Amino acid sequence: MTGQTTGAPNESTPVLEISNLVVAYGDVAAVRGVDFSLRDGRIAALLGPSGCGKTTLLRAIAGFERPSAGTIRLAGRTVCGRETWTEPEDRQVGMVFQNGALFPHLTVVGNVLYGVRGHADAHGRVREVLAQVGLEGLGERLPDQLSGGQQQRVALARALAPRPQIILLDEPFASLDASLRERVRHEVRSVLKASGITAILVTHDQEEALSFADEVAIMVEGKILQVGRPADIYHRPVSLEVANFVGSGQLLACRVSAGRFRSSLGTATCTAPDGPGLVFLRPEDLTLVRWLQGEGAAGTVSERRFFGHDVLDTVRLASGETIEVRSLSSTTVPVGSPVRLALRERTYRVFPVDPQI
Amino acid sequence: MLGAIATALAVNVPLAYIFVRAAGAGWPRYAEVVFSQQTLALLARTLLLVGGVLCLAVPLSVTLAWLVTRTDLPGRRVWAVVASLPLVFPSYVAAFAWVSIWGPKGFVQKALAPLGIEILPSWAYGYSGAWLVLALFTYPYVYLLVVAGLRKMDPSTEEAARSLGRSPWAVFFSAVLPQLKRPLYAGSLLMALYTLSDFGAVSIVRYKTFTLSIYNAYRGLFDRSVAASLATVLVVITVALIVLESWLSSRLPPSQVRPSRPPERLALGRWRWPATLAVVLLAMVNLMAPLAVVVHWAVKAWRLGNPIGVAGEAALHSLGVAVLAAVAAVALSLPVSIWAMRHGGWLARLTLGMTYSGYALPGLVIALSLVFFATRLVPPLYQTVLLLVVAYVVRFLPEAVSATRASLGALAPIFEEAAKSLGRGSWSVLRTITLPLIRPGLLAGAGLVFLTTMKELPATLILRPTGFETLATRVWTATSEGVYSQAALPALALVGTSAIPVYFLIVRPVLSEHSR
Repeated sequence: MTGQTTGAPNESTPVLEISNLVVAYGDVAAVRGVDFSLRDGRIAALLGPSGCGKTTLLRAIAGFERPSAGTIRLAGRTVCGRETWTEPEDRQVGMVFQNGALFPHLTVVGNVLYGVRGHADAHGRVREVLAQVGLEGLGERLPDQLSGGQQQRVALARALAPRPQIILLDEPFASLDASLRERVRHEVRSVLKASGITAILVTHDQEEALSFADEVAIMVEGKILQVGRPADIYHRPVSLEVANFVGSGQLLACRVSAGRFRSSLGTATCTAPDGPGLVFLRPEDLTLVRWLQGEGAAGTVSERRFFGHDVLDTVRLASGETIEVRSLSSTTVPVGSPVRLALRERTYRVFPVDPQI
Repeated sequence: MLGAIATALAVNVPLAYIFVRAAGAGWPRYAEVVFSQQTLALLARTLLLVGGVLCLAVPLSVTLAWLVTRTDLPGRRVWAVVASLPLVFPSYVAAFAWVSIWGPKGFVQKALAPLGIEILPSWAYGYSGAWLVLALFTYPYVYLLVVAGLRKMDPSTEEAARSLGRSPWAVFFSAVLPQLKRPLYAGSLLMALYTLSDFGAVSIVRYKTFTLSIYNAYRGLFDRSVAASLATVLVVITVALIVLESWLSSRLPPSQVRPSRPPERLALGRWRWPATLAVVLLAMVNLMAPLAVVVHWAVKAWRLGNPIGVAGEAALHSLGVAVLAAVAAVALSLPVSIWAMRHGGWLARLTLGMTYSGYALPGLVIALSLVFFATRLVPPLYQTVLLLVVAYVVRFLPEAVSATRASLGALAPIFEEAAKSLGRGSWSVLRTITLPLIRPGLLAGAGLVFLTTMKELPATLILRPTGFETLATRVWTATSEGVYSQAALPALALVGTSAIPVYFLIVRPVLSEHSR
């Protein structure tokens, strides 16, 4: 087991089970021994930097890449294994591509009908899914007459129509305008949840992964490093690598002894082994107080960036280290003021430093 | 995949028959033909023509290309297009116009007669005729590549050379010309292959090269192994040239990226008008005059009430075989292209490469191979339109494959993947997604095959059923017999058809390049 599951247990059966999957191009392995499973009705996100193998993994599930080792089971049926191989068209896997990949020569109805032609009441099913994604009136349009958001909704409807076992979404929001992205994302999630379908989203955008999925898998260099609920991934990263990738964090040197660490921010309890360590802090893990006396480490505000809802202060500590603190924008501290920083509840993490590095 | 391999084999197996037939007569007979004094002389005459054509066409192309891309030549946009237009004349039409202008009893002769000049030197025929017709009418193959090379060359290298103190003249030779090696090699290869395989022009101006000798040997001698043996020599020269060009090109550095800005144009100064005059004269000789001559004879034929009927029937035949060849070539290009573009692998690449052999070989050689193949293995096929269409397909399949490959390359595979993920099998995806989306490319490929088939001469002459006339054979026969008025209408029709691909493949891209 490469990934470490910290999510809540769920009693329903796994729709997708992947074990020890390897996908290699020549000598280069893009996916290097991945284990992953997903229960019925859950939405997972595969989050990782570009080139980490997440899209390759998704394409292997769909049947567009041939793994060199490992098995994939869909709804209890082995679709890829040592002796078995199921072609993509027989896998009942729905796919939503980055730019929608709507067939440009077919209308909206033609696109959605494509996967259910010949099924009983195909047209009824097309009407149903188009209603689900809120595009009832646009059936006769061609793809290039639709906005980017509408195109993605058609792509979703098309993938949903044949009632697949699972829907795979390959960076489906990446090509949308930033202003539109959040809304379309929310709509797509609602549709997926309403239809109760299992889904996997591939993305490199951590905010997208954390807000979209029930569980997030962090993938780096072909391996899944951690699988868990968004909150666990964010607040309880299992390693520095995961912590660094998810959210904007900062590291302070510290020394751990007997269950406490000591750093320029002060001292607090932790579970790391004795020796040199690194405290991982997010800007919102700290409280900034404008009192000169009392608890916490002293410092000076050296820079302030205003974001509307919140502000990000850069504080120079007495030790010379700088650290960023995020507060609500109603706190007003002028640049140059002396401040004190206090750690909040146990939201920080302490990682041991490998002496080799 | 099986379809792809079958196509590649179907193209290449008949071609092997030229060797089978040549070997059939036994080694002593083969050696007697190939290593004879006559063959050696023939080889010299052919290579002399290839060399002469290149020596005239390459400097001419480079000069023209440089004038239209790097100087302030008046009307350079127009000349950029005009310089490529001689391509509308199939070589035998060019030769027909050529001899009817410059030949004995030609227009120039008649115009000069009142001045007391009775007989022009016979330079319209023979080596000089073949040399000038091929060089002046087919140089656009080099010219177009050199223009493209100059357009994508980064002007900063030229500016650097200038700032290092070189004169514009020296800059051209030290900085520009060395960067044009790639298009020059490729263009020279194209011209050399064209000259080697040309049958129409050399037969009309009566200069004996390999093609003409092979044809005569095939028609005139009872022993067909002579034609086959000579053809194998032609194949060897062709392959040697291709290998030489790819070896030369492989030693060149990779070609340049697109330039960031247009080059500085050199002011021609006092050379402005002489240069313009030269360009105008060239266009008179290889475009205006031939066009006027063809139109003149066509009008004359019309006035004489010359039977349109014969030309009309020939036109129908040409259309018919061209449509068949186009449809067949595009259909056969599909399995090869899909396999190579969507699956890849060395076997797919090899198969793809094999479909290109028809492009390199002279049409005459392909036709002879098919004759030998058919008479040996499928006699009923000999002297049928079907075998003629097979020859066209073998010869022009590469045009269809290129078009199909290009349109498949432009189609992102995700549409096909999306269709598969919706539960459709490969055939269904091909029929409902791939084919409808690449239809414009397929049509373009079919159009190209159609138009080049219309112009094809040597294979048609050899393989047509007795009495089956096409536009091309009409022009050739009538010109050979000196009945120019009968050649005119079919020739005009062929110039018109050739103008279509020239417009779409050359004129329009050049115009859009300028408007950018």
